[in-house]
Amino acid sequence: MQDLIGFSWTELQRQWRRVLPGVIGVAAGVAILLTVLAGSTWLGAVTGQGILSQRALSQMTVTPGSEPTFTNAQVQWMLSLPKVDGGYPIVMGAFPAAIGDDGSVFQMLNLPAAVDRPALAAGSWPGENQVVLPDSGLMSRKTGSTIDSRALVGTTVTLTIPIAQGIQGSKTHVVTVAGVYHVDASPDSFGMPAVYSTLSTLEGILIEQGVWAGTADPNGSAGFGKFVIDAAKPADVAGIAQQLEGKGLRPQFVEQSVHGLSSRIGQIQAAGGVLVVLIVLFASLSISNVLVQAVRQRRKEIAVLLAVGFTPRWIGASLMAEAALAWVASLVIGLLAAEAVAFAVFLLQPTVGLRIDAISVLLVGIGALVFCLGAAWIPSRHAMRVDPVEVLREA
Amino acid sequence: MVIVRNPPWPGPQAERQSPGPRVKLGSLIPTMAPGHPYVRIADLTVVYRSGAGHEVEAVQSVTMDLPRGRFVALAGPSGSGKSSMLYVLAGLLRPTRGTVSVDNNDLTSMSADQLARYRCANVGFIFQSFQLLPHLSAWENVALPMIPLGVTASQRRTRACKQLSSIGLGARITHKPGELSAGEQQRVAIARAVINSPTLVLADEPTGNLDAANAALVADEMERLVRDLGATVVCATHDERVASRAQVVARMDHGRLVEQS
Ligand SMILES: Nc1ncnc2c1ncn2[C@@H]1O[C@H](COP(=O)(O)OP(=O)(O)OP(=O)(O)O)[C@@H](O)[C@H]1O
Ligand SMILES: [Mg+2]
Repeated sequence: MQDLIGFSWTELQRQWRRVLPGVIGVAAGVAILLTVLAGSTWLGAVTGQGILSQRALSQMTVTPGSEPTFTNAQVQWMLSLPKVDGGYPIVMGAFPAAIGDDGSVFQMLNLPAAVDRPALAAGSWPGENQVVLPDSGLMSRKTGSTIDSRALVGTTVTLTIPIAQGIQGSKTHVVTVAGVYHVDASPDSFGMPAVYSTLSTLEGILIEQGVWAGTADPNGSAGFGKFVIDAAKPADVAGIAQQLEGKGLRPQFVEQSVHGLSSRIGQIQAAGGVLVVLIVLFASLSISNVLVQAVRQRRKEIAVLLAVGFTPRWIGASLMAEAALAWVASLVIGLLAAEAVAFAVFLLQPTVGLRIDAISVLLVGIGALVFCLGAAWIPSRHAMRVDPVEVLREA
Repeated sequence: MVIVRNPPWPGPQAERQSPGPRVKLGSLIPTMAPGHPYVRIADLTVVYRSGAGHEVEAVQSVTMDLPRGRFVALAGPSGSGKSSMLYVLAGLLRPTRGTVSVDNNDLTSMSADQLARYRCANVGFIFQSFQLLPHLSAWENVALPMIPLGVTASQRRTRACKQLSSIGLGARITHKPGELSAGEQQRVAIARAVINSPTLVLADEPTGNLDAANAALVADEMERLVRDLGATVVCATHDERVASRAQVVARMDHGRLVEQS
């Protein structure tokens, strides 16, 4: 066994130039698979935990509202809220709201499905598990009567948040009403220093930024146009917010959203899958071809080995051992490459944690081994069938 | 493409061949009457069938016994079937008809792996064109046949170097075949052939690529194998000077054994 491996190792070293493409192919397959698996695990964790607990969001939905609008004082107040991600506060939730006759407040905005903890949803609010309600009063969905929101300050209300637009069901959270804000709904407040942006202005800015991804919901349930900013990095989102501010515009409802995140995961996996299939295909052809060629080139050597008493089985096994050694090399290179990618991602975006876990390595490793041995199988049979007499006569 | 017409072989008989690698065929048969033929060839026929359907009867019904511990020359014109005979004796070529037994062991009933083990422990093959592996050094070439026997790496090196030194190539052990003269290469090849102390040494035109002086050295070496190892040497040769040194000369012509002295 030791001799077999030693022998195959020598052969592999001798052939390394030709084996290299195959080894790199398998290594690339291993690296990509591991990265995609780690990425999916990470994305799964992100969406599972609640997106707002993650700071690395690449997508933001800007919903410019036509009403209600805010007074400058209110905007100032919102801007005074603790910043998130170095960007602007996530101002969301309670503004257009209705309260049920049982006292529960109905959120009229769509919150991401992943938001399952009010503490997270209210992260930029005055305090955790607190809401600020408009001072214009709340309308009961059931009775149509208006409830004075000021009377609710200091009380505990149940917040009912629709899971997501178009999805049945809602989540309820118990929150404290921390205060009220003033909504200036008078017609003459329009055209005042703008705290909202028109659809066309926003669109223009987003296109200018190169992050325009289309209108997700031009006629949303709340009657607002909804824009999806498809920025690559959270930093871009902050940049856009800054741009908007520079133009004297402010998105009234900036909602970080997982909208499309699941489809993003799907895209990443599909792209990874296609890539892996291509690479594996290339690597399999390459390895198999290299070994078949090696056997053809080594016919004379194999004939000599057979003539001096090596068994055909030994010859075949040595080729399989070569493939197994190539597998070890591929696995090590692939693993290092995957770790390097994870580290590079960490350097570029510290909030994205790709962890290459042992189970993935095991599964991918076994897959790669099966594949390497599979590629070596036919060449190894060829090697075992070399007719020494025929070859030795040629010399 | 060679297609050898195979007769229906009897299945490999249960472990006729010793399972242990170092066990020699000879040691399985404790005593042997003097004069008992070491190699028995009966009605041996080898037919090559080429792709175009041509049949060449390279060896035709040869029956011959060879005694143990002799230097046998296999003479005859080109194409008379000498190499074919050697390949059959080495277990590299299955005869189309007839039986071959070495030391009472029927080669025709052995499996491919059994034949390989038989070659490894009992046969040394010397080729006209040396057939050394170019990427291995002299000692590594010599050490090759010890690998299937499971000899440890350090033992292999020691024995191979000793063998090379004994034939005056001690200064050449790490040289690659390309760095050796033809005569030196053939001596390395002989060292490789005899490293496992074979009882049957087969040489196919071993002097064909050598000058007279080197040819004489090779012939000396083969005589020494017979004398010191007690090996049976079968040497196919055109070279009358080599043939004249043999104790037995078998002449072939057109696949037939025409004379044996
Ligand atoms: N693969 C093959 N297909 C067809 N005929 C073959 C094949 N190999 C050998 N022969 C023929 O078999 C005959 C015997 O060949 P062999 O090599 O045994 O002769 P030889 O006595 O060793 O000749 P030489 O002295 O030239 O080496 C020759 O006529 C040769 O052409
Ligand atoms: Mg010949």
